[in-house]
Amino acid sequence: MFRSKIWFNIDYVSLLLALGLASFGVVVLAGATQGTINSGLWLTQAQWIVIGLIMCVCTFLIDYRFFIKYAVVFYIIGIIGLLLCFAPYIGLYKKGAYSWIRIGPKQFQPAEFAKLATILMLAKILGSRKEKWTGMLDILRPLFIGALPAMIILKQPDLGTAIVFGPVTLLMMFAAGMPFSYILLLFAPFTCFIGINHDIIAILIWLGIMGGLLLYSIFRKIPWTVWLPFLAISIVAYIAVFEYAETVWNQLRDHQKDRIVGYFNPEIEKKGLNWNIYNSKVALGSGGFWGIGLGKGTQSKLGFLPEYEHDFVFPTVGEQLGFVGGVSLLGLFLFLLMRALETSILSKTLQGSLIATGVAALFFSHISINIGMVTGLLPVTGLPLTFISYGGSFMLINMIAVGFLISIRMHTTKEIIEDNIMNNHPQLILPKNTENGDIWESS
Amino acid sequence: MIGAATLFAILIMKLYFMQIVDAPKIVASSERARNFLKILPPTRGLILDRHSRPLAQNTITYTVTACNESIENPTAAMMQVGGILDLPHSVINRHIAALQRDGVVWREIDKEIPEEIKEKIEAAGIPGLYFKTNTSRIYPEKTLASHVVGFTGSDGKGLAGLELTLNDNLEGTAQPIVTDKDIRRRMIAEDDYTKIMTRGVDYVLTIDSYIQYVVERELKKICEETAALQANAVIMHPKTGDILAMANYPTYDPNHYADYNLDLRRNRLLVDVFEPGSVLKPFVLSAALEQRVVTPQTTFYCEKGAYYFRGHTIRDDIHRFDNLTVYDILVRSSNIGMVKITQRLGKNPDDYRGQAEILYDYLTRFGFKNTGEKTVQELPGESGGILHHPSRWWPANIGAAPFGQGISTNTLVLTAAYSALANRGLYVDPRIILGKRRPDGLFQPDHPAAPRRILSNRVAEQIVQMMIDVTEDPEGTGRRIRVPGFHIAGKTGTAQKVNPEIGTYGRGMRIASFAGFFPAQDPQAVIVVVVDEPKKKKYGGEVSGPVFQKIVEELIAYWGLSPSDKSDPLFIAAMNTTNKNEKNELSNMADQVAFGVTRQMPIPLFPEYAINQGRMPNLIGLPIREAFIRLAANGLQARFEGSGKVTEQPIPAGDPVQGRTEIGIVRCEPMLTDPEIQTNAEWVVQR
Repeated sequence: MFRSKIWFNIDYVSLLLALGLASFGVVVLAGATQGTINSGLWLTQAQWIVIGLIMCVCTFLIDYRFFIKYAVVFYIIGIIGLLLCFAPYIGLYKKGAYSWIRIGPKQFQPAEFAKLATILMLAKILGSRKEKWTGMLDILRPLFIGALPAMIILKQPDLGTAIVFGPVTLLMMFAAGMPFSYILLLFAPFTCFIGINHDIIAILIWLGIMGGLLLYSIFRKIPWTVWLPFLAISIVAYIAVFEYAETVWNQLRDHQKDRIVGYFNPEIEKKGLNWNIYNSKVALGSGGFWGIGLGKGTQSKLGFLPEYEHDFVFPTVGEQLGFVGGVSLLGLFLFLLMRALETSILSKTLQGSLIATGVAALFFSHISINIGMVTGLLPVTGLPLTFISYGGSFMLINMIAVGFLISIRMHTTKEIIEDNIMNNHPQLILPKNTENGDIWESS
Repeated sequence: MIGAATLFAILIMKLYFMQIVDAPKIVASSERARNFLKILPPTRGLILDRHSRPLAQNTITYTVTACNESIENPTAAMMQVGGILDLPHSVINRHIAALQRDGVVWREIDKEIPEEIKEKIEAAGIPGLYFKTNTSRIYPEKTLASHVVGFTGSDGKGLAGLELTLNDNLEGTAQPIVTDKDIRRRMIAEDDYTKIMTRGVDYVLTIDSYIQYVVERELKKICEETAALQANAVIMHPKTGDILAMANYPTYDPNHYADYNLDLRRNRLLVDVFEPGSVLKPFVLSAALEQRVVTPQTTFYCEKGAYYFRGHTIRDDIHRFDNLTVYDILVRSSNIGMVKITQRLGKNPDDYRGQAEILYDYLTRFGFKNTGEKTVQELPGESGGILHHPSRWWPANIGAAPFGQGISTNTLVLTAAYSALANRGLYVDPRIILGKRRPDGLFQPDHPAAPRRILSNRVAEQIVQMMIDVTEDPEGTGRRIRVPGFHIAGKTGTAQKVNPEIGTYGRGMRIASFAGFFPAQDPQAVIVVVVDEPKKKKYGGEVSGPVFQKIVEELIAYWGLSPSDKSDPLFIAAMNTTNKNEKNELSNMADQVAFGVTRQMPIPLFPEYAINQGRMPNLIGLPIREAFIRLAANGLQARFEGSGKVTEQPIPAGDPVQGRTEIGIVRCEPMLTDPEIQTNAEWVVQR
């Protein structure tokens, strides 16, 4: 295991990026909590980073194929873990959700582990054989794998985390060779929300979209086994929304209603509706270009910014370090994502490529949903910011995810180098991904 | 990839708009929500005496409250707290009953408990007790100078005395600060505000609390001895106008002002006016001398004690004089003589308006005034007295004004007028404020007003000579008032008093006064003592005179003055008396003056000096008066030799002196006058 060369093959760039982002988070957290009762929080977070780093190293020392091999086990463990949240004694009801399990003195969020397990499972399923993408089952199988944990998490309820499974699953399916045209079909059921509006024009618009999709499917020669069920689901969903939207709305929790109303009425700045977003805007606004300085933020310290260490950590970055800090953070994220996608391209196997894509999708959805939420672009859903938000389980799975990336790159690189040495090739040649080379061009 | 880059670009755009374009608007609206204006009340300034001893200061007291939510056993807890607070059983039982009620009950247990009691309660460790701090005003010296200092009401605003007139400056300016409050509307870091809290201005008064104490003690004594209605006195340093003491008896305790009726709380020597009587004669006489209508040797026929003048009979009380010189008229205080002198002031004896005009002119110069003008701006409620404009004088006024009837004034005005004589014709405005101590600790002295020449040196000197003989001439009305080694210039006064019930001079209702200064050659203090309605004795010389004398003796010892005239026969006689048994009271006094022997100080006036109880205090380097106070505070007496500052003490500092009262001889350096007074005296000379 500790062959001398292995330490040279580590992808230090990803590792340093992960560590840099995590440190960035600790610094911001220390600044935001300085002088408050939470002033010791950054130390805990730093401990989690160290534990996460060890886990990361352990992960990348193991060949990623090992994880693929036991993906089913991980997936089942993940599902059981999610279900355990509802179990008495083990499950923990905290902040209005059964998101936690208790093991001894420690508390974990199985949903975080489930994310990785689902990525592994999807990579196994999508990468193990060549998908034809001609039958309904080809689409529904990965969708089911992604939806199962998401549904359980939705039941906890933790809408934000559940949503993440959507883009991760779709992007991985996409990476596995699903034609781009299917994406439109996948989104077809979502047009059901037009049904909220009982206007004749809205009905006509919906009918137009459906007709367009039908024509498109026929024109692109998508097998009827694929498009018919989707259209059927869309119609059922539309009728359901048309009939029961009000009932569903009444079923929603008050805070969810508030968030939706608030999202569509951003000018309302009052407690309950847009309070979080309003204070997030204040924090970001008071940061200005250069920020007001580390440890000087008032929005978080005075308790105006809710959940400033978890979901609303980005406004504290913006408040303390300003536009410069926010953009730098986004730059680091972009760099990490690019590195993950590069790993995906470099991977010699489809599974490796899919894991990398999944991890990139996971990071991407977390980052975009979180920052989109705090800047008011998206409705508020509780979702932490990768590497920056406070939280042990979250830090651990992020580090393990980076471990996957390094593992994929390391074990791929090793093969390439060995291959090059064997063939006396002087330069490093990137392998052509023959299986789904066309996919990346179209994204 | 492109999607990610696009989304990131959108996010950055959004950030740009939020953080740079819309930022000012958002931040402004957040400041509305977060900032609020807090008015920090400043701590009230102190009122200090001239040696910076506090006369009014602030103290922190606590209100203790109990909450039944966290008290486990209300009965036991209340019994314990009640025991510490010394509450009556009925009150404790009421608290217990209240706390045993259902629901959350907050009960105020006691207010205004001092720090040490609070600590005791805290040490008892009873849960469910809460303390709230309050700042309150206390007057550590209690009745001392209470009429000058005044008091504050429960809202912390001055209600009387200097507390009232200086209220705005003492209070200082409230400091508005914009502060952040958190989501629960709590202020942030409240403790830090004590650092930026402003303070009011501290005022240093000219009052010397020791002298004030002596005066108050003597006034109390004389009131009790003579069963007088009331008494008051003012001591003033003539050169600077510093009011060293200003006292009324009966007095009140400003800490519990509500327990005293309004009459007791009034600064009566300033607010009430009285007809001064004979103490006004020197000023009338100075007018005549200054106008050169008489000389001290001019002789007048004094009508053998009864003089019918313009419809009234003027009488000389004790003696029936026939021919008296102007000099003797003042020394023996002849009313008839004074009226006759006054008649010379006009163009002819019947020109009463001309006489009135000159009299009015001179009395005004000496500071006598009509109601509505103030002698000292800072002292509230002064009624100047009654001195009508000459156009409103009646012919008969000339038959009363020269001996101080028909004119009224207050003690302070009289003191200031006598200071002008003491200064040989220079009038100095009296003052009560020595200076301010600013919040930053800097002392800003108030400069005394420039003296005004109101009388020629020649006339003032003649008057002072006569006043010296008031006490030294065997026929003088104040002949009992002697202090060996010092010449005292004084004037007695026994005025009739208007009985307010019948509106005319009441039978036997008199105001006995004595005004004067010492040492006559270089006056250090002007003292006016007024006793209202003494029952057992009636004349100023026998009622107020001894008070004056007692105060003079105390001042000599306190200031460590050395005899100004060692050729004084009284002094020589006292010094030559070798046999102690033969010493009479007078020679004892001379002895005391010569050696500066202390008399016993009855109470520890300044408890802060009593810190080393049972041990010898360190006296080296202290001025005599401080040494003196320090010894007295520890219940010790000593003989002081020399004057000025202490150079040698018989028992080293720190040695036990338990059970001793007499410690022996304390040696002092040659005298140096009080630096403050000396500076001011030099300043006067330079003018």
